[in-house]
Amino acid sequence: MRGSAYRFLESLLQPLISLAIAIVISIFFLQITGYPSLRVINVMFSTGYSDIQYLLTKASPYILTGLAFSIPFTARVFNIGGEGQLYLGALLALASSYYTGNPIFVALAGVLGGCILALSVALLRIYRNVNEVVSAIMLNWIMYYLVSFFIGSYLYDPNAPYQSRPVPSTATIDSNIMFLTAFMVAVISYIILRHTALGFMIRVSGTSVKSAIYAGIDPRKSILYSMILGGSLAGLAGALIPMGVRPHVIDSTMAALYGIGFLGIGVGLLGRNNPFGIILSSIFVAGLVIGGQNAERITGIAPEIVDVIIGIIVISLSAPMIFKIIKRGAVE
Amino acid sequence: MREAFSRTVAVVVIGIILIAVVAGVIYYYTMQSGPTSTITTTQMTTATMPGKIKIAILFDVGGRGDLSFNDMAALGAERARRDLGVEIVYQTPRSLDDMVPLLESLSRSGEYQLLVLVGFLWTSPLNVTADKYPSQKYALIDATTGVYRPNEVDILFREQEVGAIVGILASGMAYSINSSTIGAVAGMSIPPLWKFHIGYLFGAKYFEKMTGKKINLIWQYTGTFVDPQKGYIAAMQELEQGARVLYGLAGLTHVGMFNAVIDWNRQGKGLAFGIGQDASQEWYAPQYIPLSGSKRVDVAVYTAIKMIVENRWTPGIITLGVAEEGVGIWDLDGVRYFAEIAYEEGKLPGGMNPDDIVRIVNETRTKYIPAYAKDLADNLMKMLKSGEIVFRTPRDENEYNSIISELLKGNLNAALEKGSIT
Repeated sequence: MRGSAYRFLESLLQPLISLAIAIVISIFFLQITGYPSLRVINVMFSTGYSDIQYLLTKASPYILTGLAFSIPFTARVFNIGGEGQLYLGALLALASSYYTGNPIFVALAGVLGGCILALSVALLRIYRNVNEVVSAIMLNWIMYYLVSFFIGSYLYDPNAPYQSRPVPSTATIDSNIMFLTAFMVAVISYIILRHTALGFMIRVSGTSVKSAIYAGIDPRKSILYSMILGGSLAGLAGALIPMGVRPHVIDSTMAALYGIGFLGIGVGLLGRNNPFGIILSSIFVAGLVIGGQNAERITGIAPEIVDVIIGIIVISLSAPMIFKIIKRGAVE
Repeated sequence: MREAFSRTVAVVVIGIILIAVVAGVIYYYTMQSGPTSTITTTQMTTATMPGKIKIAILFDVGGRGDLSFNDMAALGAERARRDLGVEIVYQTPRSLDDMVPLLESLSRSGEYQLLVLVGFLWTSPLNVTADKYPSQKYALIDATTGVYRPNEVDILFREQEVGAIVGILASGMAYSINSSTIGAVAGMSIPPLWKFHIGYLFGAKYFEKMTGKKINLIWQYTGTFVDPQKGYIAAMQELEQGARVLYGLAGLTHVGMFNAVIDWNRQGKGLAFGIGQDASQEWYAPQYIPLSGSKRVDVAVYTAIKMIVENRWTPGIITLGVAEEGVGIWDLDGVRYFAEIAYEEGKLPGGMNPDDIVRIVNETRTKYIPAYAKDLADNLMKMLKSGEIVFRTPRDENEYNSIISELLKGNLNAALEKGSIT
């Protein structure tokens, strides 16, 4: 009884204290750089969460890339390749949309793209013992240039060559459906992780490899399946962006995609690897990003400084999780 | 466990108190000594003044710091702030999908008399938003939606004019180093580039007609604006075919062209020159890049704001050419301005300072641009300024191709909508 009350208090206090520390550090930093600190923080938090529709649209891909990080992480695989998986998903989704025009099929093409990439990382890890972080980071860049090459050379709009042809209107989806899809995927992920044999397998081998082997679970399978699941979700995020967000295009600088996969790592840690936590943390981060854009207009702060502040807040809030990981690593 | 927890909490609480005290002290002192940055001061003073015209500048996703497009837009806006006394705010969308919500929320708020949208990426978001907010005015810079709306102005440039002037000067420079071939490394085959091509070829043919000196022009599309490697290869091919003056019309791609020109010179294969476009790019290698054509995004932004301030809103498409100083050749002041920015960013080559750049550029220009070519260019500029001749703008690729083929036959008037060259 005492234990559970203590746990509840901890889970409530921890983020609040972290947030307080983050804001204090941010104010400190803003004062040094000479910006109106309190005003910036105020604008970020007050204007970021006012437009619910925009907020949820912005949060949807973060939910998916957050899960793309968290599911493999539960099996103790560090999927830093969400970024590249997202790119390939977006590319295959775009290409297939011109031929089929069917939203389901386009989304599946995106899933396939992310899945292929994650699978190759997982197989390299399992059969060749290649560190998944290294191979994923390299693949991220390969995918970045591959997608920008295809958009610049084959998929571009003849009337506006700086961007891809738009996804045909039959294959586009409403941005509310996009959020709903991401939300449902998070719920399904929760069920898979907590209430199925597959989820149990992933969780056990993530907690202790030795116990997993003792219980007859092959940890390599957990790595494989969790990466496939994670990669698919990142690919889905890549597909949903051109489908669900106007204008339904990807430009040749890839500004619509860049960074969403990386932000997923922060979102996943912030959400404590819990799918429902990830939904909340996605919305929180999306609000910060939106509020940060407004802070430039209202207070004159440079966008780069805003990114620094978002970084400070995300790191502070996920710090307890990071400590836990380090401690767990030390115990092993 | 419990002890560990309370110990952690104690440490954390003490930490917070410490940081808070330090931050508070710093905050107190900075407040005492007044606002710390000039940005804050201007923001504060302008915000309190009632009845001021408020303008929002919405950048491309890249935002400021590109030493080109966005920075020039900011330059024009700052000039408007100073000269016209308007209040300016800036905002950079994080990505394409932030553009529509951003435009919607700013339009809905009605807080700004004008939203200046910098760059082509705003085209489709504007198409989505503009009709819903008829009382909100928009200015789209260097792009057009192709739709007439009473609340929208599209500001474009007459690229043919700068192309023609560069064409004449490039031809003159080629002859001064014993070559009769000029070249260009272009990006994609899109309407603005068609206009550059028409102008550049017109300039070369004009030179040929007026001086009787034959000029050969190699024009090459690389198909990309972002690939220096392709620019390098294309430029090397042109240099090997005998072109000695190359015009870069491909953004990042033509940085590769500059590198090819530099290598060509350093490898002792003879003299060759590069010419930049849009911002002044001489600073990149002043010995080998004596010229840059200008495309004044700052003038476009300023023009749009001026329309609001002087209350003469004219929707539709406005084009800026030599007469409006929207395009032209960067003078030495312009060269210095960009050299200084590059200097501050630590990008100037080999320990040079802005003075060196200006001096070298001036020397190269005097030495290699013959007086007769300069006179021809000035003459053409006069005709453009007075409106004696006006270039045609091709509506589609067929019209563009037919203008080019007529120009190649020496029919200069095919490129003109008004006036003629005799």
